[in-house]
Formats: sequence, C-alpha cells, structure tokens
Amino acid sequence: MPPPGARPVFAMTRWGTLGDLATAAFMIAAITGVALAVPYDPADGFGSLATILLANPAAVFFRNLHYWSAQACLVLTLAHVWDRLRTPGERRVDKGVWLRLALTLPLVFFIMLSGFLLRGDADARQALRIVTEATTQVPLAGPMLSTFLFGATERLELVYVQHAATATIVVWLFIVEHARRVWPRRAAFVAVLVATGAVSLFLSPGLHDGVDPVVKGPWYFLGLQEILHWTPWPLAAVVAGVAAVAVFHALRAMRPDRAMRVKAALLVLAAFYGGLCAAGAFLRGENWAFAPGLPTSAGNPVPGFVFASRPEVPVPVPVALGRPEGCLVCHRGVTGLGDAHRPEAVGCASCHGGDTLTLDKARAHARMATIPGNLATAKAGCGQGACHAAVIPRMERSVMTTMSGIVGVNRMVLGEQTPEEAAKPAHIAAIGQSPADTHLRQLCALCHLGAVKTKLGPNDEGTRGGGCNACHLVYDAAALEALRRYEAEKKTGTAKAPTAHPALSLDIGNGQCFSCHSRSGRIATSYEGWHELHETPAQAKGPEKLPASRYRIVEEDRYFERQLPDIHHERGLDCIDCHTSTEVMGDGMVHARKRGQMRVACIDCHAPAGKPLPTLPASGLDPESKRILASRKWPGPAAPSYGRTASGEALVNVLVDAAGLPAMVRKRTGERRELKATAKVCVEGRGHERLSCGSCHTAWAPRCNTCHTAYDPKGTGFDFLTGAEVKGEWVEKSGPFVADLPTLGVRRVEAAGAAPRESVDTFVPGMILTVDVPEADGKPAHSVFRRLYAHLEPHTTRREVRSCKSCHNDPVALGYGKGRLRYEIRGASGRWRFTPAEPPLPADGLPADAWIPFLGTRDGMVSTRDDVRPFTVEEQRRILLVGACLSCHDERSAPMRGSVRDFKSALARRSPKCVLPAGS
Amino acid sequence: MGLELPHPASRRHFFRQALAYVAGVPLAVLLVDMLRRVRAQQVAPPVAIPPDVAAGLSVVEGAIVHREGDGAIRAYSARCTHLGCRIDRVAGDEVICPCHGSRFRADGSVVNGPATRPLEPMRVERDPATGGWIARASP
Repeated sequence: MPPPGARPVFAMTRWGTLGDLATAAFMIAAITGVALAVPYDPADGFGSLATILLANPAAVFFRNLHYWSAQACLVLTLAHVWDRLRTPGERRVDKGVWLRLALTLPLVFFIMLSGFLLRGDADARQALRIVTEATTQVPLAGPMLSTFLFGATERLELVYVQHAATATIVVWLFIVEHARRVWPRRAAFVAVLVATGAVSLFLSPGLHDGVDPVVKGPWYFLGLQEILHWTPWPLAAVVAGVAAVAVFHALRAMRPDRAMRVKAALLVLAAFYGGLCAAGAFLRGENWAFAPGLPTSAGNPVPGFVFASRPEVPVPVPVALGRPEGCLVCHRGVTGLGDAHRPEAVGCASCHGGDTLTLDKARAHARMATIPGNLATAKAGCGQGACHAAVIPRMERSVMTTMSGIVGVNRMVLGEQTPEEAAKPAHIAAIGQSPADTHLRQLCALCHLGAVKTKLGPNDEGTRGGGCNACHLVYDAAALEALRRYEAEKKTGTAKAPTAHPALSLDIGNGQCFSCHSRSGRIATSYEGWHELHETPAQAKGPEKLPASRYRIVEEDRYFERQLPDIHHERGLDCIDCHTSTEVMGDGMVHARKRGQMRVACIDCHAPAGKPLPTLPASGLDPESKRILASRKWPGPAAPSYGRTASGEALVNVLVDAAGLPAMVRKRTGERRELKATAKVCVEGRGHERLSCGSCHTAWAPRCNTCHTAYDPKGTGFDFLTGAEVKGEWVEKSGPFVADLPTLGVRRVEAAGAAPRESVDTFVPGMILTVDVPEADGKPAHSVFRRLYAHLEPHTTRREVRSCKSCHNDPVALGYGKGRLRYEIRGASGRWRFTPAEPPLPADGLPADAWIPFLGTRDGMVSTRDDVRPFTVEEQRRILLVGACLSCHDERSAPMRGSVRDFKSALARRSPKCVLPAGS
Repeated sequence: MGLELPHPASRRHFFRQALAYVAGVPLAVLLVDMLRRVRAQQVAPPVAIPPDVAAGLSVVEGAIVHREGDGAIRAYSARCTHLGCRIDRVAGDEVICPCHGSRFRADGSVVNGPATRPLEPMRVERDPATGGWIARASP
C-alpha cells in the first residue's frame, strides 16, 4: 500500500499496479524455472533444450511460459519504474530501500541475460564471451567479478546457479522489501499467467544452431550491440550502465524540479536506446550489412501450436554429430551415402541445412538446400567444421572454378585486354558486362564448379557445375530409380523423399567429367573415341541407319562418330586414374592459367627406358594422400613407395614395389596394371629430344578450322551467371569439325627446380575466327579477326605412333594447313612447294586453316597462350630437310633408322645422288 | 520492510560494525584469493591444426590460421580483441568477428574496428603425431 498522503499511482489497472503485474510475472518465471530445471541440463544447455523442443511438448510449454513471463517481467518492471518516476515520490522511499531498488534494475537485466546465456546456442556462446570480457575489463575488481558471475570457463553450470539461485533470491528479497508482501496479488498473477500462457501455446523461442551467420544478442541488448559496434571503447558501455544506475539512485537526493529534468533526459536516452534496439533487430544483416526486414535468425520465436500432433519420436532422440536432429525422426532408413556420410553419423542437416529442432515439415524445410554442395553454400555444408574445411578454399581458387584462362583469353581476343593484362588471374564470377564478358556469360559461363546445380540427378551435358557434387555425387541404379519415382510422384502430389540416396564418393567415373569436358578441346569425348561432327542429325545420315557402335548423340543434338579411343581408355583407366585431386580441386594457389595447376605427365608413369620412376617413400606421403589411400581400401599390400610428379606430388595409385617395379592401381576398382617404360627409340639418338610424348603418340585431334561469332542486339540471349534471359544474343557459327593429326609447335616448359626448356607439342586451330563486336564504351561496332592456334593434349594417345612423313612431309603438322606439300628436284637442286587446299582469308591472306605461311612464321598474338609459338623458319627448314630424305627413302629403311640416332652422321654418309633442299 | 538501523553513535552499533569488518574483510580476501586461483588454473587449450589446412586464411577451432604459399604456418587467437567473441568466418583475405564486425588481416592487424588491437599471435609447433601443427596461446 502507498504511504499515507502519497498520490495514487497512475497506472493502476483492474489487476493491480504495473509493479504488481511485474511481480506476478517474476513469480511465474521463478516457478516455471523450477519446473524447467528437471529436463534442462546446464552441462549441455543446447542439447537438452533441443531435446525438449523435439520430444517434450509439455516442457516446451513450460519453457515458453518461463521465457514469456520473463520478457513480461522486464517490460513491466521498466514500465513500473517509469510510472513511478512520473511523480516526485522518491524521497518517500527509505534511503536503504531506494538503494536496493536501484540495484534491482541491473539485477533484473542480469537474470534476463543469464537466462539467455543458458540457451547455450550460437548466440548465447558468443554473448557469454562478451559479458565475461566486458566484466573483466572493469578496473580493479573486474576479473574477480567476472569469475564470480560467469566462471573462468565457457561452461554454464555457474551461470545456472547465479541465474536460478543467487540473482533470483536477491531480487525476490528486494521485491518483498519494496512491495511489503511475499506473494503477488492474485488478480495480477492470474492476468499475467493467462496472457503469457496464451502466447506460450503458440510462440516458442528458437535456438540458433550456428548455421545462420548473423549473431545477435537478446532484443533488449541489441542497442548495446549497436553501440559496441560503433565504439572502440567497450568499457564506455559498462560505465554508461553504471552511470545510469547511479543517476537513478541520485534522483532521491535531488531537488524535485532538477530530478524531473534528469528524468526527462533519462527518458530521451531510453527512447534513443530503444531505437537502436529496433535498428539492430530490423535493419542489420550479416557482417553489419544494412538488411531491412523482419528478423530471421533461428534464435527468434517461431509460431506453431505447442501441442500439435507430431510424428512419433524414437527414444532416445536421434542424434547426429553430438546434437539432436529432428530430420532423422521422419527420414529414417536412408541408404546409399556410404560409411563417411551415413545419416546416422552426420545427420541430414550437415549437408542440407534446414531447422533440425522442429518436427513441423514446413518449418524444418524452410531454409533447407535440396541440392547442397554448390560452392556458394559449400562452406556451411561440405566445408563446415571438421569435415572438408580445407578443400573449399582450394576449390574456390581452382581454375575449374575461376575459368581464369578462358576469361583472359576471351578478353584478349576481343581486344579488351592486352596479352599482358590477360595473363593475370581473373574470375568468371567477377566479370562485367563488356562485349567480351557478355560473350562469356552467354556461351561459356556454365562450365565451372561455381555454377549452381539446380536439378536433381547426375550431371549431364545440360546441367553442369554444382561445386563438390559436380564430381562426388554418384548415382547408382537404386538412386536413379528412386529419383525417377520421386519425380513421377511429384507430379501427382504424393512425393515422399527417396530413401535411396546417391553416394558421396570417391568413385568418380568419366561421366562426371564428360558434362563439361565434352566441349571446347573435347578431351572427354576424344578419350573415349568419339569425335563431334558438325552436322546435326537432321543434316546428316540418321544414326538409326548406322551401327550404334559408330555413332552417338548426346544432349542438345550433338552428333559424334566413332574414332580411335585413347589406349588408356581401352585399358580401362578413368580420368581420375591419371589426374590428381590437386589438378581438379586446386592447390590453394590462384593460377592465371590451367597449366599452373596441372601436375601429371606421361613420364610420371612411363619412366624413360633404363631409368627408375621418381618415387616417394610411403612414409613421405602427404596427409591428403594418406587419407585417400585409407578411404580407397585397395586390396593387396601397401607399397613401400609411390610415384610422384616432377613437382613432388604423390601419385597414390602408382605403386613401386621393393624391386622397383611400378604398377598402377585403377582407383575405382583396385585392379593393378603393370606400368611399362618408354620405348628405347623414344629416348635414344639426337634430334627428337624436344618432342613431347603426344607429338608422336597422338592418334588424332578434333579440329575446327574457322568460326564466326556475331552479336545480335535484337536477339534474346541467356546469361548463365545470372540464370536469366537478356536482351542481345551472341551467336556462334562454327566451321566443319575434322578429326585429324594435330599440328606441331613449340611450348616453353618451366618446371620447379629446372631450367626452362622447349618442347615440341601438339596444337589445333584454337580461334581462327571473326568476331563482330558490338558498340560499347564509346567504341563503334567493329570486327576482330584472330588467327590463334591452341596447345591441346588431345587425349587420343596410342601405342603406335604417327609416321615420320606425317610430320616431316605434312603441311598440317608444320602449320601451313591442308594442301599439297611436295619436294621437287631439278638437276642438283631441290625445293619444297606448297599448294594450299583452303582459299586465303581476306583478313590476312593466309589459307583458312593455316597457322603460319609456308616457310614463314608469325609472331605477336599467334596463340591463346603466351608460352607457345609456331616453328621458326629455321626449324621448318630442318624438319623439311629430313622430309626431303623421306621423299625418297622409306622411313623404315636403314639410312632413315640410322638418322633417328644421329642425323648429322647419316647426312654426312649420304649418297652423291641425294639432293638436299637449296640452302640446307 | 526497511531495515531499522540502530543510532549511528551507539556503542552497540560500533561493536556490530567492528565485528562485521573483522569477519568480512578476511572472508573477502579469501574470496578474492579463491577467484584468483580459479582464474590462474585456466589456460586456453591448444589448437590442433590439421596437416592439410587450406592455403590462405582459415579458422581452426580457437585459432585463425594463415598458411603461406610456401607452406609456412602462422596462427592467431580467434578471440576478438574487442570483446572476446570467437571469430569464425573468413571473407577473402580478412577474418570477421560476427558479434561487432571487427575485421582483421592475415597478419592479425586490424582492418577496421571496433577492435583496435591486433589479434594475439599463437606459438606454432610441429605435431609429429599428425603431421600437422599445434598452436598454443603465447605466454
């Protein structure tokens, strides 16, 4: 009762004063807290609350009531304080009581905050660190006070005691002393109980599992969080809080008029702070980005009837990665994922996300990734915690993600960058809207690991990318059948999630590579012996009229004919048997060009005759190689040593036994194959030292001699980066595709620890094209003509080699293009003549398929790479000198066989009848 | 109910206050000593850095790890120097505190606040058992 003579309180409701209501809310929170103490475990706050949310509706109700009555207590307490401060009645309160009332305010906040900490979720763990640190920074007594209140570890047991016992008892004593009654008014108690009970039936505070990157404190401290973001002096916030309490306490000693002015100032500050709290709640996103909208954090209250019917929850509650996971209540018996990723171990949400702490389907699936593994979200899935965190940054920098070389070359070709500028690292995700970049967006930007996979099922030629899943998601027959059924059921609205899941596996077949690498250099198709034809089925003979073994049609009506496959394919080797994880996922470094990321070479398996393979002892294997070996579980004894590349990277499937005999293990099957050394002829003699293996052993290469690319401003293109149609379309018209022997040229090889050397290598027409570049950035529309050859490892290796004449007497090999190259002898003089088959192009006068003019050369921009060149005139003359000999002598003849070992000696021994080209 | 204190000048009051100090001060001293010893027992646990930790910046438990191109490892405490939050995310060449938005470079220095002090470096030692490293808080 108010003291005699006091003015009646302003906010007397029919249930009592605001203070009565606040006391009632406090008492309800205290009572429900006692009930909640039974299922709550402070040693595992998050886990026990998660178990409650999934399997104990009654406990959820008590938790809700505890939470909402506590929030009501705080709001009503503040309202009560303001209500009483509106009148100058402080002096009527006993001095000691007034002091304790002032202390009640921070104590109420402490109870609220400690309750928040006891959630043990991601927000609470960070909040515990903050309050511990902030308290520690208080001068003199700070460290001891922090230890007393929150302990010296990040455990919650002490916080629980301070919350449930110390602070609650002290506040209750202060309330009793202040209100002069032990129990709240019955009407107030019933009113608050009914109100908070009603809310508790339908609104449950969530838990922040850490997936959402936004960390926020409780709503009443969001303003403080904002202040702490903007000021480098966190102690100032502590001082401000203490000062506010001190000012409140000092009100009693002030003159009434001055006290009223101070109260007005406090009200303004409180209103400002409330605005900051609202800003923190509704305007702040990840990393303090401005993100207006309703709060979406998983820790916010979520709607739903507490006692709604729910699936039966097994006992004990399913647990994955040490925490309860509601997904496993409904999705039981999922198979196919393999040992490492079985749902009983890692759950569903580790990859797919979603809300694991509800059994409400819509809510559980609300923020779920049906197709996880895409690079944009892989950090939260595949790359989280102790899973594959180290791999994701590598993949992000891999050239299979950045397409750096393609971006640079494309800009160089269209004249937007100099070769030097184009040689710097670039990233497909960062390209703009220039003509070159829109060209990429429409024609090239689907083939990279960062492309988002949006369609269920294995990747094919129409769906590419998908981050980790591009390679590691492997469908077996059961998973394909389950997917087919699921897609069919979706149409009838009866679909249930399939239980046969595709595997996440190292069992990566060539099909995974095919979807991207069947294009451009077409190494995936060439490797298996398929050559793309220029004609569509409508233009060419229908495949149904021809043996299926000779023809093949893939997505988008691409038409392939049978050619010789690579010998390694014939022997059963997959792409992954040669190519290492570093070559695909990257080595963590940013490379401007693919060559910086490539490692393997033919000689890593086929040692030069008479020499051993370079090896690594088993003890010297890097951790990733060891983990791969452990996962593969190949039969047979472990090898004492393993093959390695020139850069030192281990080849885990190249095993070298104690006798030094090498073998390759097929990664997918464990089958062992003996590795043969290179033939003696490859390394003996002088003259062919510079030749790469592919120069001789390549059976054929896909060649597309000319193309024309134009921009149609009226057309409608598709931007693969944004996934949207755009105005203006790039249209590519290619010339005929030909399967033919590759041209030869020279590549500069730089290897770590060795002097740069030159290698004769295989080339194909890369871009002999005309591009109609549209107007942009003040530059008028114009045409660009380029004649660039590209270095290509065609992946059509054969044991047998091309003939001597196919190099020394062949105009395609030398770079002149198709035509008739003949050696004419007149009297004692010989000379070479070349008649091109293709007409000259008006742009440069060279035959359409040529790289260089006959017995001439080019410099400047001659290739898509800056480390290659065509043969010099002197090199051509030397090659043709041998060709002159071959024009009379059979290549298997003794003089020619001898010339392979020592051409100069053979030349010195030549017959007087031999006629060398003029000038030799 | 307010406490009814005796008259300040009374002898009984004097003795009661003296008794309170005689009993209270040693208890307070003991409490402080207890808390100090509790704090002294707490040391940050070492962080095991796996041997295949990614090149560049990454977060490994309570450590920010930077692996150079040549394989050299540096580690810093993931505890934000502003208010002790656990830094848990990497954005390009920086790490970001999720609580108040402080950003730090790969060498631990501050890009922007509210933090003003660089991250605490940790001692890094090779871990022969795993082939990786162990990072410990600097003394």
